[in-house]
Order: sequence, then structure tokens, then C-alpha cells
Amino acid sequence: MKRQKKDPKQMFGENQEHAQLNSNEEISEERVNQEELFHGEKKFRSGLGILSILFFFLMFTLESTIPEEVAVNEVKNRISAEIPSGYTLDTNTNIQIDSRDFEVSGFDGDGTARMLIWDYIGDSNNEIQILVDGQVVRENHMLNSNVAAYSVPVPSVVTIRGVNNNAGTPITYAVKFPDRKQTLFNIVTVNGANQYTLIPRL
Amino acid sequence: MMKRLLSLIIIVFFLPWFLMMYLILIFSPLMAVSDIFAVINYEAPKDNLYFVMLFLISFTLWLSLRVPSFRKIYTRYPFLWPFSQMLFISLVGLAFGLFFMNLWAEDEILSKPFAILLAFISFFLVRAFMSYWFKKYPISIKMFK
Repeated sequence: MKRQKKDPKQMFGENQEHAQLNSNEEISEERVNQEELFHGEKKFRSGLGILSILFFFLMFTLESTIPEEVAVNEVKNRISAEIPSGYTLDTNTNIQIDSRDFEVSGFDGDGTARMLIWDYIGDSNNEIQILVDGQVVRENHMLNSNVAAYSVPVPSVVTIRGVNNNAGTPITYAVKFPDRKQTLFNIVTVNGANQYTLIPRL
Repeated sequence: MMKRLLSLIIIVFFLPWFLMMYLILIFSPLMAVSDIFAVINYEAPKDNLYFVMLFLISFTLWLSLRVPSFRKIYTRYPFLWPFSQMLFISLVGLAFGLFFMNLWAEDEILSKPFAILLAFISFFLVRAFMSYWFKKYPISIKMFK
């Protein structure tokens, strides 16, 4: 065993609990380093090592990050199966798209569907109104990058009306129907309206 | 002398990183639980960043055990190790729980009750693993014996 180079008190501090260890002058720094401080330390340590490699790969496979250029193209295409809900573009990307009505078909026949809605440009705080078959289901919905979910009947016509524009740019928003794995990108002007006709599978 | 100086420099750089990771480790299980309940209540998916956190945390904890000079933090504060084990194991289950909830909320691959069941099972499994682990390797510090 190597001769002790260092006072163990320095290493462990003046803690009373270490008095027993400190009194044992045979213990060198090397020996302390080799010993397990806790039961099963080495097993847990190698477990952590393996898990960190596993999570490194899981992180890339489960959290798909879509590059800006690809996303811009998807937005221009108006209908995307790639872009997950809550995806936001950089605020300074300027995309010219027109206001459009959509028809979404092929819903499973249990009578309702979830509709996710958010602003794909970011936190603009623009306000919209949501109507289903002419009935108001939400008087004022403030759009931002947080995804909101609405339960809508199928078949029905969902109308999105622009209410208040706080950002200066047109009111941008994206709608996703998880049933159909489709994200639709749209804009609406103040007092303008977009219609989404939901049709169940025949 | 050079060796000690080197280890001192490494510690100075590692310690702030370690503290930051530890703070994340303490708060992320709470955040994950609230995220899972938010997905159940509001039916909107939540961004799952917990696998990124798990990678960073597991790598940092591994490093803290692997490098002898970092390990001294556990001799100084012995409660840190079992505490981080508990939090880490719980976070693994919760991250998978949120992953299953998002499979429903984002793409409807699973039905809602099945997703909740899987989230519950994944949390239950890691807790069962934790019980098994601490039965086999009890929380006690050998050096105090």
C-alpha cells in the first residue's frame, strides 16, 4: 500500500461522522476510490452508463426535429402529415399563403373527433372564434404556441372566425386532427372565416 | 501537486454543471407528473423533453461516480446518492408515461384508456424495480459501518 500523502481530514472535511474513517490511518486515497461508497454502486454506475447511451439514441428517434426549410415547404403545401402539434416557425420567416376552406374526410365513426389548434408562427395572442355548425363553442380563443384541444362532432362544419388581430400580420394558425394525422395550415383575416367540413368514413 | 491542481480545475468546471443537473433532476419528476395530468385533462399533447433531460442527467451522474475527484461530493453529502437514485428511477417511468400519453394525444395510435394504463404500468414498473433494488442493495453507507 502506498504511503499516505494527504491528511484524510482534508479530503472528507471535519465532519464528525467521518471520525471513524479518519482514525483509520491505513486507508489511503487510492483505496477509498476503489471501494464502493454505496451498496451496488458499480452496478448502478454501469447501468447509468448504458442508460445514458440508450437515452442518447431515444432522444433523437422520439423527438424528431424538423428543419426550418422542410417545415416552410410543409406549411406552403398546407396539409402535412409530418409536422407535430405545437410546432412553431421562426417569427421572421415570411410565408405567403391564402385563406382557404378544407374538407377532411375519413374520420372513424364514433361521432366525435379531437381538434388541436395553435399558432404556427408563435405567441401572437391573436383571437379567434370557433363555431360548430353555426353554434359558437368558443367565443374568444387566444392563439399561441400552446396547443389547445377541442372536441368536435363528426360530421359537422367547423368555422374559425378571426376576431382580433394583435400582431399586425394575418392571423395564422394550424389545425390538427389526430384521428387523421393531418395538420392543416391556414390564415384568417379579422371578421373573415375558414370552414372545415368533417366527413366520416363511409 | 500538478494532479491535485488538475482535479481542482475539473471540479470547478464540473460543480456548476452538476448543481444545474441536480436542480433539473429535482424538479423534472414534478413537471412530468403535471404534464401527464395536463394531457389527460386538456387532451392536448405536451412536448416531451424528458428523454433529453434523462440523457444529460444519467451521463452527469455516471461521470460523477466515474471520476474520483467528483465522487467526493457523495462522501461529503451522503444523502445525495440515494436521493438521486430515487428521482432518476422515477423520472424514467414518468418520461415513458408521458411518451405513451403523447402517442394517444398526438397521433391516436393508442386509445386514451390504454395510454393511461400504459403510463400507469410504466410508473409502477420502475417503482417495483426501485423496491427490488433497495431490497438487494439497502440504502446505507458502507463507510459509516
